[in-house]
Amino acid sequence: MTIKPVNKGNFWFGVSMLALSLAGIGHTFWGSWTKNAGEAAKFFPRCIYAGLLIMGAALIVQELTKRIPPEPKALKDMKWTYPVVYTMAGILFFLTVYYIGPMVGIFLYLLSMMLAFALEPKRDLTKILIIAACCTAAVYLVFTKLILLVLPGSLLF
Amino acid sequence: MDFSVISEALSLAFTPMSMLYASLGVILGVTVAAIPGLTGDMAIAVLLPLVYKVDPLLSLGLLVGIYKGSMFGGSISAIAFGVPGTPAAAATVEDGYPLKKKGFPRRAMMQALYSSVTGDVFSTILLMFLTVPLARIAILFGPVELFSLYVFSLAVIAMLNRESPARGLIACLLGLAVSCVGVDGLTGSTRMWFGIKALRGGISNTPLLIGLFAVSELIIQFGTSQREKLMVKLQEVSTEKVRLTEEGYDPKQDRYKLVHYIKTFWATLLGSLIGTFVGILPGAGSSIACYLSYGVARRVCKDGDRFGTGVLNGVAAPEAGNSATAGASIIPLLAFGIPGSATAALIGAALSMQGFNPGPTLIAENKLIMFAFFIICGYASILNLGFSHLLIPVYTKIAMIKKQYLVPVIFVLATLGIYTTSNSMVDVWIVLGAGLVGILLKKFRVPLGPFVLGALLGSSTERSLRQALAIGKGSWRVLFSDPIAIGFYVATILFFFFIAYTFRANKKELDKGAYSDDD
Repeated sequence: MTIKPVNKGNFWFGVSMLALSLAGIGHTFWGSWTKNAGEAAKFFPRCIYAGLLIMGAALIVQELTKRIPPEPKALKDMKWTYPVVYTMAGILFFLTVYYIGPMVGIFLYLLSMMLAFALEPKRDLTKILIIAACCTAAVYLVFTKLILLVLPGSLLF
Repeated sequence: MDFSVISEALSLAFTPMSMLYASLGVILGVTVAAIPGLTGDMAIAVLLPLVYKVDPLLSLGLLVGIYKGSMFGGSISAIAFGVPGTPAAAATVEDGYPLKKKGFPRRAMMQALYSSVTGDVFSTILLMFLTVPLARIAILFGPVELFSLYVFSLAVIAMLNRESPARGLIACLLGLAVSCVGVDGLTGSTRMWFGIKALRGGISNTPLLIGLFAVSELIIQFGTSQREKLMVKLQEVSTEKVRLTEEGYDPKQDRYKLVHYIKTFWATLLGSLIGTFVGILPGAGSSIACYLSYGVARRVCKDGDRFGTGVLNGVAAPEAGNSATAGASIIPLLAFGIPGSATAALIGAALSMQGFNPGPTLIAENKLIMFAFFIICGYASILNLGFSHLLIPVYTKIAMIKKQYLVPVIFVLATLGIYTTSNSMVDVWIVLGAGLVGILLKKFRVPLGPFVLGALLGSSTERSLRQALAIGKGSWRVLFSDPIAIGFYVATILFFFFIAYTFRANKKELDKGAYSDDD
């Protein structure tokens, strides 16, 4: 007999919750911080992770005993390369801002993202360049003149 | 009542700068919400780090303006394009878009606006008169009563998830787990940092909220092909609009008159009552209120059988319902420190950033500022009416701006904002990490609201539990020693059974009808 979950997503979510809760409970017993902390500091996190353990197990059991009807998938039309690209771009943006210069970082990030996600079959480079430059100037003015926040200082402006 | 405080609060609330910030907030809120995919939550989250240097009253006015404006803004694209600008306007599409197709776009939008403002004013009046007495009661609560109140609130937040209360509960527990990371508030020792040194200081609320509400949504906007579909649909609809104009659209016929408001007043009042009730419940947001108001109005109104074909009552009820949650969700935030919705949680985070501690002592300690805040909440609704009346055609055009240009700019504002305020790269990594966690949670259909509220209420819940146990010398009996606490536990159990009953009934209906093996 093969046991097959109704909603695979729910099943794997339950498994990951189980793993997370076990890691959490283990951390409250053997984490490096536990030597210096009293029992009171460990008590609440332990309760929370125990609750997660129960809920994770319940989700798995529910799925395996088919007590949940099939559910539509969330973010079905999500292209999963996009979040990766977007996050990497975000990290690059911050490294540029931090090590090269805020204005350069903002401009390059805006330009690349606007170009990368342009909808038209023909990308209007001049238009995007102008918009990116104007937006960079606007962000700079908002931060430094309007709300008086200091942008990170680095090599270039 | 201290009239000198009220007169002073009036003079504080009606300064030109306060009015300017509230106006900016309202306009920004409507604009953002009118663009499908962008929400008021996102706008508030992005602005959180940017407004902390601004005077508290001005920044609160701005954020409340956004909150109120966004409640109406979602209906603009719902009516104009059949695409709800925010989840809170999802039910407005049902009758708003058919009304537009019949040749009454302006009437539908005006109905949405007037009902929205009525619902908002209704709940703001309650905010003004209910918060102070509730806070006076809450201030008498000791750790035992407070813990039972937090248990009740967290249970309601978790179980109100329409799709799966189990996932709501998991979201809440995950949020509570996040609140345990970092410094233990009572002993000062660091804990639960899983060997990551950056987490020893804990996970701050602001980067967490920005990551969950803004960054995750921005990434999803790019990652889903819905974006392309939406653009195609908007282009189709704009062509259709031109055709409608060409084929004898009569602006005189499309006028919104007083008689329309009077005829729909009952549905508006019903929506306002439902929205206010739902708003006060912890964690129950405006999307629940809008569907509930629409559903009840459909059963109660005379023309209920024509709902879905383009009737004004079908626009009035959900719009009043979603807007009434705005004022109401702030009541538990200010009285008990428990936000009534995810947006109220963001307002709570703004209050904390400004050095105020949302909870029973907030009003007692900051009477003047809070009274001025109530007054700003009141006139922000009127500003919403005035500006939206004038700017609806502009908002409709803005709703068609390509998100290709907007999304990167919002990302820059959000991440750079958090860096410049904290001067710490840790917060930037938390923003990005929380963004990815937000996407994963959405992928597994885990609601963000209970997660956020769990994270925000975690430390207070733990503090009250540990204080209560200390009073009882470690005995659990102390938690059941107070009649108020017992009342909250009974309410929690009753609520659990109510949800279990409705969930089972829904499941039976699903089993009868929509259950198919296709999936």
